Amino acid sequence: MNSLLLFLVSLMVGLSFLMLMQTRVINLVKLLVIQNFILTAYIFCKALLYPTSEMYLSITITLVIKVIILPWALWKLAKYLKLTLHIEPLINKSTLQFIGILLVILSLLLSHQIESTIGEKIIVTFSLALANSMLALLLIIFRRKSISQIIGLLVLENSIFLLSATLTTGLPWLVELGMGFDVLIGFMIFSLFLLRIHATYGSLNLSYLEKLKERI
Amino acid sequence: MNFILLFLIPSLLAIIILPMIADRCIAAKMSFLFSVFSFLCALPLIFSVYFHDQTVFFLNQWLFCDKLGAFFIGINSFILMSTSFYSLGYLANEPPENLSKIIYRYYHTFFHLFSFGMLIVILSNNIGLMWIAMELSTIASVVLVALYQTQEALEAAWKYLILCGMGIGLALLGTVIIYFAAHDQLTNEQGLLWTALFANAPNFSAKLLAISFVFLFIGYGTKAGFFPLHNWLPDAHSEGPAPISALLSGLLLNVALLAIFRFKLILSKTSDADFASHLLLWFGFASLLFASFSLMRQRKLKRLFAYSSIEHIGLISIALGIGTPLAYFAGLLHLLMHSLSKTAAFFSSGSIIQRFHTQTISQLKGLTQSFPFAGWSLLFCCFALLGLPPSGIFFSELLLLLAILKTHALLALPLIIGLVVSFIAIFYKIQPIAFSMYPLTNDHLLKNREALTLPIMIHLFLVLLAGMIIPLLMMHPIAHVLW
Repeated sequence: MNSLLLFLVSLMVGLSFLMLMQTRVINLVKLLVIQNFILTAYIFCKALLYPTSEMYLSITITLVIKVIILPWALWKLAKYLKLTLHIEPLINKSTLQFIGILLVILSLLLSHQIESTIGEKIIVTFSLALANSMLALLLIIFRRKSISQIIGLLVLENSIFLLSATLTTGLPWLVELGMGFDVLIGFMIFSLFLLRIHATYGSLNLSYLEKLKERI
Repeated sequence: MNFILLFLIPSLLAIIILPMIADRCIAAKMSFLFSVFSFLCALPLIFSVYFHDQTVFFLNQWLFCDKLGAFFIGINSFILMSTSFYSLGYLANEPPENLSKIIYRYYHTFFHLFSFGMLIVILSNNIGLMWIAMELSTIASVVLVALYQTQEALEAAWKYLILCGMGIGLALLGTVIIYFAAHDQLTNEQGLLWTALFANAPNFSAKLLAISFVFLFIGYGTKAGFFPLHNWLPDAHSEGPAPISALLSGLLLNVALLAIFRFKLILSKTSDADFASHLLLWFGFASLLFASFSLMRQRKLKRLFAYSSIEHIGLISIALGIGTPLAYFAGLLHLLMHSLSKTAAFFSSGSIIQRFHTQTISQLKGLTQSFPFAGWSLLFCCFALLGLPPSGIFFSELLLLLAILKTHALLALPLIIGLVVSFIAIFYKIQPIAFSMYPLTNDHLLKNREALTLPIMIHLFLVLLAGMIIPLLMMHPIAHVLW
């Protein structure tokens, strides 16, 4: 079972690497949906291992939000905004990939430092979850399209879900619910903004959003 | 009845009732009334915490109010009251094409939602609840920043949303790690209670706490506007309506700092106590120096004040980083004085922008002649912010300098450089706005003058009073020795 869990986590990190490489928005959306599925599978396995009520709540919330509502909403949004465009990352792909690998190594080293307190069992999962959140930050920073920034945030959210499922056998219900609602409300507000930006500028390119930039 | 419940009732009522009121005038007045009630209900809470020396708990210990919390509740509820009073005048002068009816309703509802979020952050004992409330206040304030729906406002709100969304995510990561660090000692929900964490801190793994503190610091530090993460702050402050800029600068930054401070207190009981102090000191100095040099090249009035907020947040974080009782006193005093004078500065710049329809510094000239009240009040607000005696900020900065000389004497140098540079920058920018041979004039007169002027006067008066009373309090022990 443990090796299965590890496999699922590494699959998630692999997907994040694939996302870094994508140039089409629609592919990003598809990859995110796959990642959500894998996350749900991971939490499901965890719930089988440690059957607590918090874990069941966690799996329900993840299932409803990440597998049913978010993909549907993302799909609607992508269809409405006609997202078949290409996006180029700010720096070339191989450099981006290389930075990603460095970040994974960094998080492995970082978690190696606390191996004694965290326990050997989950140390790899912990470091991979940390690495996933760093990759999400990369995804946000090095793109010039507003929608890909949102997807980066959702990947960050995924890695937090992953981390909390790894470290604990379910957080108290309040935090679980809060996290779920955060994803939902955040996504709603974000898509409202996307629609506004699309209506105002006719594009989602962030280069239009540079009026306030300070020039020296 | 529990004092915390009593205190939260007016805000909750405001959130429920205000969306239903269609009439503009009545809605604004109701909003003011609710915040007055909120302030009045805060008084028994503050008194019971301060004078009966007891920590008030509520809702299964999820909410609590200790002396630190009571101090922040006092600042927040007072400034919310004066801001909603200022809003009466500000909204009355807003041209109707800028704010349609539906947006008007949004304004009041989200104003109270935003303030409710901040109050819950201050009161929360449960760090999960604290995180949720921070998220609530972020989302509510994003809507308020984007209120004008101009292209600039949209851009500012977008930047705010992305950066703070990222920050809030990292803060959640930190919260999860801290819960994990505590799960051996504290079962289930106890692991999220700040009081329990604080009491048991020496038993936790210091390394894990340090890692979680890094995430929490970056996360909530984004909201506090520390230097490398400050990008959203000047945009959001300059593009929103003036009362909202005042709230963002005067309250939200404080609340984020309070969250960081609470976690710093947990860490300071472990062997890694220095780590948190160093983080606060480094980021504080970086913010102070960066902001004071950036002040030089600002061309917009509200942006100038936004950078000045980064500078002051840097000062407060330095004070919290030093960590001696004198430094804590200086930091908290500075926080109070900064909130009062910065909100007053945003109020007066709001009136100026409403009258002249521009916030470009080079166009605003000689306002003490053409718009005497706003010109003079802007000048005095800047004097207060720059720490000229007898304003309270002079004293807090002096105390901070003394505290830093006692512990890290060399660090006084960058502190003085930062203060001097920002003094020169702000004075250089504000002086022509106040006095000029060719004053900018127009005959667009503002309505509802009392609502625009009274809050500024009260805030400045309080800052002045603090600056004059605190020295007397400090003389008291000396007088004891003499007689």
